[in-house]
Amino acid sequence: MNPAFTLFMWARGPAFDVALAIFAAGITLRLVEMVVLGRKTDLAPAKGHPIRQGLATIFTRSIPRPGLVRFAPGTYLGGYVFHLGFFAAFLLFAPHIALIRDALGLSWPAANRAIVESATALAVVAAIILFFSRVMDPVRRALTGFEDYLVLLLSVLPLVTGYVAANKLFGNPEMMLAVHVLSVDALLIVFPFTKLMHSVSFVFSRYYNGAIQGRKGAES
Amino acid sequence: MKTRPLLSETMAAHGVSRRTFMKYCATLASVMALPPALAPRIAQALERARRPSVIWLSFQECTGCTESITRSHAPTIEEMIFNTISLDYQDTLQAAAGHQAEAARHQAMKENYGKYLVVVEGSIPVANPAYSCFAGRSNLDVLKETAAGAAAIVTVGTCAAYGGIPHAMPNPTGARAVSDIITDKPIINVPGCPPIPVVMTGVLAHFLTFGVPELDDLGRPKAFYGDVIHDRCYRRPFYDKGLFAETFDDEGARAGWCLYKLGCKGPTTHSVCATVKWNGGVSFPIQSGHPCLGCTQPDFWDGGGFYKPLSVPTGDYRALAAGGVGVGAVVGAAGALVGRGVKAEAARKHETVDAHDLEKPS
Ligand code: SF4
Repeated sequence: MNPAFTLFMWARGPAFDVALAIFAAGITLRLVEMVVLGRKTDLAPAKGHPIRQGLATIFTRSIPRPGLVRFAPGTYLGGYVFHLGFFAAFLLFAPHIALIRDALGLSWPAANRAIVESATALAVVAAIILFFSRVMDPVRRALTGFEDYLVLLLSVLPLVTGYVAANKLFGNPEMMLAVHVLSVDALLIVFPFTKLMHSVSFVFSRYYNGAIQGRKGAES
Repeated sequence: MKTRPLLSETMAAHGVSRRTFMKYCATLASVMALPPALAPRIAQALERARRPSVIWLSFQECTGCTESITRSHAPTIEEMIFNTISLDYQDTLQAAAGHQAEAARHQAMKENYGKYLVVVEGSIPVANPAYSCFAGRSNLDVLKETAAGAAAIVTVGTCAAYGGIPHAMPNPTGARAVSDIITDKPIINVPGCPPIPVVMTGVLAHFLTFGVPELDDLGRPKAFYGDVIHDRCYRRPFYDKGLFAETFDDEGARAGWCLYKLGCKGPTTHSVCATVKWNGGVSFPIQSGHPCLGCTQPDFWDGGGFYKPLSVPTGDYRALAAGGVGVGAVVGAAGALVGRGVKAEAARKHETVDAHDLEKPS
């Protein structure tokens, strides 16, 4: 009867259910794997403070090393703006807060439209800069595989489709919402099995890096 | 065919002044999103129109649409337009019933074959036609028979336009919309549960003056269903500022903030509720503090719940995610243990090699 409505209901119904189940299963699987595999015990006496440094590194790695921002401004600033913009658009937009309230019972005040839309636009611009920084630099281009481009595309799609839906830029509003929700469903499905997993596993990798260097008494 | 009086004659008989009539035409022009300069043309066309014969079929419905139109605060100019069409058959309003009524319908059809307008209220049960019959005939039969000689069909209400509540899951009667059955006639959908009276009369006026109006992809006149309520809602500034009522009796609700979080379907619902409003422009659901249900959209009953925000998933996603966590934990642990086993096995099989071994002839 109304294909846009049917697609929208499918996207926020069965498709979302399956996508979220895969997302939850995948993340748990990878986390449990990491914990159970563990690391080999290092029997040598520690020269520094592995645990303390490991924990500290989880946070200090979020701050760029001196000089690096000037060395690769596109990557650093693009990276910051993309992450902050993405999370601002995700966490401060009222319809998303309504979803989180339904899922977890948590709620907080929403930001106004100017903030949410600026954050979205900035995140998209940052993603474009990040894309070009990969394509233009021969070393990074050689290091970039299909998965990296896929992940970049899938992380930008919810922002673009969300902006389009919120501003009703093309025709049927139900269709625009359907496309937006489907883009999120796709992101959820690939999340645990691609480099997007870094948003959870960064805690482990930074901790291990910090702890290894800390044991040696080196900086991290 | 008997000569039907002109609209202007009937209006004069009803004591409607020319001034009132012109005002009505101007209102119609604005409601139909036409330039005001077209008002005199509407007036001209309406004045010259012969009272068109209208056959109103009531199928699986609650009569709410008829109620909406006839109980609009009286006497309205809309009612006047209703008096000026020749409602030759309307089984709720007419005195005749059963075979007598059927005879009236047949006569109207015969006299105006190819010219009459059919208005349909209610959906048509197809799985088991016995669910809704009159004079021993199924709705499906009557619709097909009546539609054959119609100039056009206007579906009034979401049931006739898209199936409505009888079509809601699990659709026990196999309810269908008019457009599922009749495909060779112009069909103008006027959905709503019920539709706004002036929209109904506006569509009729448009049909009389300019023919079938421009329709959207769901068969609705663009003039009345072009915009979504959200884009015309007076609570929209609160939505844009991020101010929402969280419950029906909190501070936000009292302050008149946006009802999105209480399930408002305004962002996806096409209607003029927010501008034309109801009861002669007094109010509309959102103004009275209730979120929009989305009643002009197909299958709005199956939209996951009237009080569920549009952004909230409709399935039992929490249980599935919990199941996912369980499965992930088991598979992850098993995978890691297998990995450890492989590593241990490799370590066990590992043979140390020293310089002497290397010296040995192989
Ligand atoms: S009350 Fe409904 S239609 Fe009005 S602004 Fe809020 S969401 Fe949109």
